[in-house]
Amino acid sequence: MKCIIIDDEKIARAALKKLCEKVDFLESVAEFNNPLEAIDFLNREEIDLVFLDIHMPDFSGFDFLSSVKNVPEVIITTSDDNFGVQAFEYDVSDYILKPVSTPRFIKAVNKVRDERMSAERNGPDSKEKHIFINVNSRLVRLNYDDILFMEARGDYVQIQTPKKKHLVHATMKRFAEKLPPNRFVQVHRSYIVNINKIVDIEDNSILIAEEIIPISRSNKEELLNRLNTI
Amino acid sequence: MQILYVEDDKFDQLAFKRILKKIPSISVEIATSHNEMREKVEVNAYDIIIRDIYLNGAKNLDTPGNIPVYFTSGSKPVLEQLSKKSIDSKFLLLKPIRLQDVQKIVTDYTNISTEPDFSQIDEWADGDEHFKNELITYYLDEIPSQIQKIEEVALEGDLKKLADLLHAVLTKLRTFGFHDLVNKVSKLEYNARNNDLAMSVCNQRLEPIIIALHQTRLTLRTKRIT
Repeated sequence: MKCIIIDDEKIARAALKKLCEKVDFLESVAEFNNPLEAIDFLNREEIDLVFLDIHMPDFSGFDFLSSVKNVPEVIITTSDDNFGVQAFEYDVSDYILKPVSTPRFIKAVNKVRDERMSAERNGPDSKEKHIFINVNSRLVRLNYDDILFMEARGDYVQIQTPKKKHLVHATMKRFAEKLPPNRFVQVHRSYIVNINKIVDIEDNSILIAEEIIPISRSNKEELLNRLNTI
Repeated sequence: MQILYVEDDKFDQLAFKRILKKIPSISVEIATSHNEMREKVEVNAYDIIIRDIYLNGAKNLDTPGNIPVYFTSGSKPVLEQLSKKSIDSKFLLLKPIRLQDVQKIVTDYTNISTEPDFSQIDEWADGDEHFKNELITYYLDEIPSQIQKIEEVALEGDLKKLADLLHAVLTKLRTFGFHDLVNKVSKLEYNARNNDLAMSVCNQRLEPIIIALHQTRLTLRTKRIT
């Protein structure tokens, strides 16, 4: 993975560069003490990962995140433990406190690598976090995280979220093709469920929220293969 | 920090001033006789007196007020004798006074250890001494301007800016394992950020920190491998 380092402190940049040298799959290609120069660079070069400081004079790490389109993966490296929540709102991969220890650094970059590999395995759409559905001639955005399951209703599919049900004129097959397979699995010809929302599985049924969903015999093996089980 | 150096030998006076130049934020005044020492102490608030035992050929151990006094002599037996007379040996300095002696005195005054702990840097370096030296060089280059900014902002009385600048220096201190200083700076940053202290109190607490920050520079210079 090609990475860049953005930090106004020389010591921090040197330390991160040294840490990158310790990891086979990382290549530190540039360092910047000023995020604005990094933005120019990102517009020209394809970069996989950015190590980003928050407190920098004139232009902060958050200013950077707000300004860049198609931000690569970002690991925040800061001495301030007060901005964790804000940082994750920008969908950063990790938030590490300086000085960055080697084990913590390796954990963070391994996480990024694993997520990228998983995304590649699961196809180009797997990094998307939402889908638009047509409801009464209106395109409504649904975050994957909000979908509990989908149920076939004749020519329609009913999408269940914690607060609402959406009826969409579509087929289950169409949904099965569109949804990221790392998040959703068809458990029955009439049901697709969000793997992350499964509470438990007992015999041939799944509990999601307070709903019991049947599992067909033919889909059970595929379902169990997708789950992280011990 | 104000030091009164009582010494009648011009060469020793010059050497001492030269050493003190390496620790900015410490001011030194010279008195050349016992009487001059007493006069100066009456009108100035010194933090420490460093004085020769023999002034103008006469032995004198007089110590005015409650100011800590360090005694100097070029003769080891003279100092040993004083040590037997229940003067703590840490207050006895053999001439010529060295930078390390002054650093010890300063550390006693600030009560902040500036001994680095290189465990984090060693973990990064994996035995790469060049890398370690590189980090030390960056520290030596960058810390003076950071100290200067802290002093300027403290003079302006801007607590928020002071907190930001103290925060900025903390990462460096943590990196080099100046644990004692990290504790002191963190506390002051917290107080400054929360407006807990009057500026005068803040400045009082800042003074030993500034001196210790200068000291870190001296300490790290000696740790560079050439």
